[in-house]
Amino acid sequence: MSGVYHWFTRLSVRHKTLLLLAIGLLLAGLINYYLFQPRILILEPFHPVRRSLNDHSFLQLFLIGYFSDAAWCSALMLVTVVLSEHRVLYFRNKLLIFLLPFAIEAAQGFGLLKGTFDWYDLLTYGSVECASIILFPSLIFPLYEKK
Amino acid sequence: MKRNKADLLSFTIVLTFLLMAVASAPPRQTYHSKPQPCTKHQPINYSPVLVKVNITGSYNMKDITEVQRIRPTLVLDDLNIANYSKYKLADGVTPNLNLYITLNNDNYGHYGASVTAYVYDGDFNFTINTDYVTLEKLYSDIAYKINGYVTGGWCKNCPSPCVIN
Repeated sequence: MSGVYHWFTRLSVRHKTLLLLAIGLLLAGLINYYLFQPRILILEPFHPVRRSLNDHSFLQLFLIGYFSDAAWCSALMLVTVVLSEHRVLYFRNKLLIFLLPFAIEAAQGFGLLKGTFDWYDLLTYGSVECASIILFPSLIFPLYEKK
Repeated sequence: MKRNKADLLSFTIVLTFLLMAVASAPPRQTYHSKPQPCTKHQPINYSPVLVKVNITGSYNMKDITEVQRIRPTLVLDDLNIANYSKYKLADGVTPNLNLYITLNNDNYGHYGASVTAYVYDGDFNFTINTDYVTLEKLYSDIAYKINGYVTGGWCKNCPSPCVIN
């Protein structure tokens, strides 16, 4: 644990910010699950009550079905950005990480993992990854952080 | 060595995020699709509503051909009894209301039906239990029910009570 802390303190402010943002996104996704889609394995022991917005609109659909997925994928991309800029990942490693969300969705589709296959999930992951590459070209181009 | 470290690192990340994905899966396998948004359809106020009727049977209907030939007109008559001159059979024109009526039979001489209706921007469906002895009464009730949706509008995937504005 102290090793992780030591490693974290040696990171630049930018990378610390990105990693904290990734943790924040994961927490936001978990809170969203707790509020709107609590019937998941990790929350089952807490027996949370599902909330419902009075507004049965696109917003509610997005919060129930896609927000947590988008937050999870964004966190994955932010962690990959930090590692890419530290030049500790090769292209094949990045490719593996990039394909992970799609592989999980496919596994759900084939019944290998619990969950519901949804084309819109794939669209969400694709959008998040494209936006990440645009915002952080270092994800695919061999750039690394200036000291 | 460096390559092994990169592989190990990427594997750790993949495993960590995979565990998160597994932890956020529902506890039991579900085949339900994600919740659909609540949609409300306004009443269809124009006249005539051009209707296309498709009838089939979920049981072995000996007279299905005859039913498909005659019944659409009878369904239309029932609809127009429910709402005078509101409906017209779409004949050579694009229908406004597509009706798919599937007749059910409990093998004891009782009839029921599943009805799905499509308009260009929405659809509704309902089921009638196999409590009918005569098809005439069944069609009449189907027609009244359809007319209720058409003239009153309908809600889909909404919590009840649903109010059409």
